[in-house]
Amino acid sequence: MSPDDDVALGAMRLCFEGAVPAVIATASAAGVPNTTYLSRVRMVDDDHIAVSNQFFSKTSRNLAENPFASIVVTDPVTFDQYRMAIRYERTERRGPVFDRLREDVAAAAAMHGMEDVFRLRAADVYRVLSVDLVPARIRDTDPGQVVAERVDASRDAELLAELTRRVGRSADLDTLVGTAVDGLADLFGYGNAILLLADEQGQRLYTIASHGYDVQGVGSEVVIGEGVVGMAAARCQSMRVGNLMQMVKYSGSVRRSIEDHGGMAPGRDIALPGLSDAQSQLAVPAQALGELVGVLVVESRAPAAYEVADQHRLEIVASMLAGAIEIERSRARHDTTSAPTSSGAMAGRAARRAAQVRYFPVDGSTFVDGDYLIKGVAGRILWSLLNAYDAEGRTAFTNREVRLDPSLELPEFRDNFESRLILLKRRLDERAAPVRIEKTGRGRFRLLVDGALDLQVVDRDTRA
Amino acid sequence: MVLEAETARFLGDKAALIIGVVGADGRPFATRGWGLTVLDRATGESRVLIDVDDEERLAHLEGGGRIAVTGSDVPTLRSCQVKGTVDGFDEVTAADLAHVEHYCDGYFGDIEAADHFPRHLLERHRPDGFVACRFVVEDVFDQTPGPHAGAPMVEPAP
Repeated sequence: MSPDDDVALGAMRLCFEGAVPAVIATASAAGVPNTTYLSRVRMVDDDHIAVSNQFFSKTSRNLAENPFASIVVTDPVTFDQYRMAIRYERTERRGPVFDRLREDVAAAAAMHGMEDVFRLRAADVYRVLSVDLVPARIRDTDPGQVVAERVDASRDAELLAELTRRVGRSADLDTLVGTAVDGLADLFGYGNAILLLADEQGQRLYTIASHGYDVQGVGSEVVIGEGVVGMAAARCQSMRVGNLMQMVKYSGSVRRSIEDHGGMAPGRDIALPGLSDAQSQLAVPAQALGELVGVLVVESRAPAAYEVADQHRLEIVASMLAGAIEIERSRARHDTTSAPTSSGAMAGRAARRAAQVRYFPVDGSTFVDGDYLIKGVAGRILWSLLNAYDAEGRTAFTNREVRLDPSLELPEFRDNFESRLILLKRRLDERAAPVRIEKTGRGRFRLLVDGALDLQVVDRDTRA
Repeated sequence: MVLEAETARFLGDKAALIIGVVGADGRPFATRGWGLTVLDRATGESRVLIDVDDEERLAHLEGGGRIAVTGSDVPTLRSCQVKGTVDGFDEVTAADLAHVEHYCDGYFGDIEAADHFPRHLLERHRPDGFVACRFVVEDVFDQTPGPHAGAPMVEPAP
C-alpha cells in the first residue's frame, strides 16, 4: 500500500467475513466498466486480498485485459466502508489461500446441496494499492454501536479449567452433555449452543443437548456433509461462518439461475439447525482417538460474531467432551450390572384416557397421540421398554439387558446405546410425554408411566 | 435500445444499486447508487442518483464517459446490469430527494427483512447529499449470480 495510507487491512478484518456483500468494479481494455457483487473476499496478508472465482465471469475477462479494479467492503458492525484500489497479481489453484476460499465456497454450496456443481475454480490474488475510508454517517437518531459480546481471551485458561471441572464432575452422559452446553453459556457467553453426536452409521448427526432455544430440538438431525454443521463433521474440520444469510441467498440464487436457464437444478433446500435467522455459526468437530464423536455448534444472530479465538476455545472444549463421552460409552459397554429382579413402582400414575403410542417398525418412528416423538434406535428402545412394561408390568431396567435386545438393531461395535437412551430421555422430557425415563443408578433406570397406554404397531407405512 | 418495461420497473424500484466507472486516472471506480429512473424506455435515457462526494471523481465522464449500473433484488439477488454513456450531471431537485426517501424505504426495508440488519445501521450508508447522473443505456445484461452471469438480456428492438 502507499506509505501515507493509514488504513491497515488487519483493522478491516470484519469486512472480510462477507456479512455485507463486497462490490467490485473492473474495466475492459476498451474502457467499458463492469460492476458486480463478490461472493467472497479474504485478506491474505497486510498487502494482499484474494477473491473467489467460481464462474468465468466478465470480471475475470476484464482483469485479463486490465489488471486494475476497485472494491468496496463494509464493516458489518460500524458500517464504515472501505474503497480499495487493487491490482491483479496472480491466480492460485492450490495452497492455503485457495483452500480458505474453497472452504467458503463449499460452505455456501452446501447450503443447497450443490457441492458437485458449485466449486471454487481459482483464487485471484490482488495487491492492495490504496484504501480510502468512507466513514459511516452517524446521525442524531443513531442509537450507537451494537457490538457482539466477546469473551475476554485472557481468561480462557481459567474458564476452560472451570468447564473441565464441571464436566469432570458429571456422573453420567446425560449430566455431561447438559453441563457442557450450559457451561458454554454461563462461562463464555455462547447463548446458543448445540451438541450433536454422530450416529452408528456415520451418516447423520443427532442433537443430544442444546442451550438457548425455545425448544431443545433434541433428536433433530443433520446429514453429515450438508450445511455448515454437516461439513464440519464430514471434513473433521472446524467451520466458522459470519455471513450465513448471505451464503444462503447466494447459493439459492445460483440454483435458481441454473433452473431459469433450463438446467437441472442440483441440490435441495437444507434446513439449518438451531436459529432460523443466525448470521454466524461456528461448528467444531469433536474427535476422540481419531474418530468423529460429534459436532459442537454455537451460533448468533450477530454477523461476524466469532473469531479465531472462539474457534480455538471451542476446539479445546469439543476435544474434552469427545474424550469424556467416549470414556462414558466405554464404561457403559463394560457394565456388568445384572437385571433387576423385581418390578419398579409406577410413579405418578393417574387415571386418564389411554395415551396412544404408534410404532412403525420400518424405521422405529414413534408417535404419541398423533405427534411425532422419535425414530431410529431411540424409537426402538422405547418400543422395547413399553412392550416389557405392557407384558410384564416392568419399569426397572439396566442398560446392559436392554442393549442385548436384538430388535434394537444395534451395530456390533460402537453401538451408542447410552447416547440414544439419553436422547430418548431428553426427548420424552421435552415433549412432556406420558412416559419418562429416570436414572436410578449407574447403568440402571426406570420407566415412569403416567396413565394407561394403547400400544399400536403399524407395519404398513401410512404416514403422509 | 428500448428497455423492457420490467427492466425499467426493476431498476427504478428498490434494487440495490452499484455503479462502476473508469476514473480520470484510468482505473475502475466503484460506488453505490441511491435511486434510478428510466426517463424514456425507447431511447434508454436514464438518471441515477449518486453521493455528492463522488461527483468530483466522476465529473470527467460528462459528455461520453462509460458507466455500468447493476441493480440487485435484495431477497433473491436477481440482478440486472445496464451499461451506457454518461450525458452529464444535474443538481438534485426536491423530487429527487423524495425519490431517495422512497428508494431507501424500499431498499433498506428489504435488507432489514432479508438480512436482519437494523435500519439505523443501514442509514449510516446514506449519503448526506446527492447529484444526478444522466446516462443512456446501450446494453442490458443478466447479472444474477451463477454460471450465466453477464449474459446479454434480449430487449425488444426499437
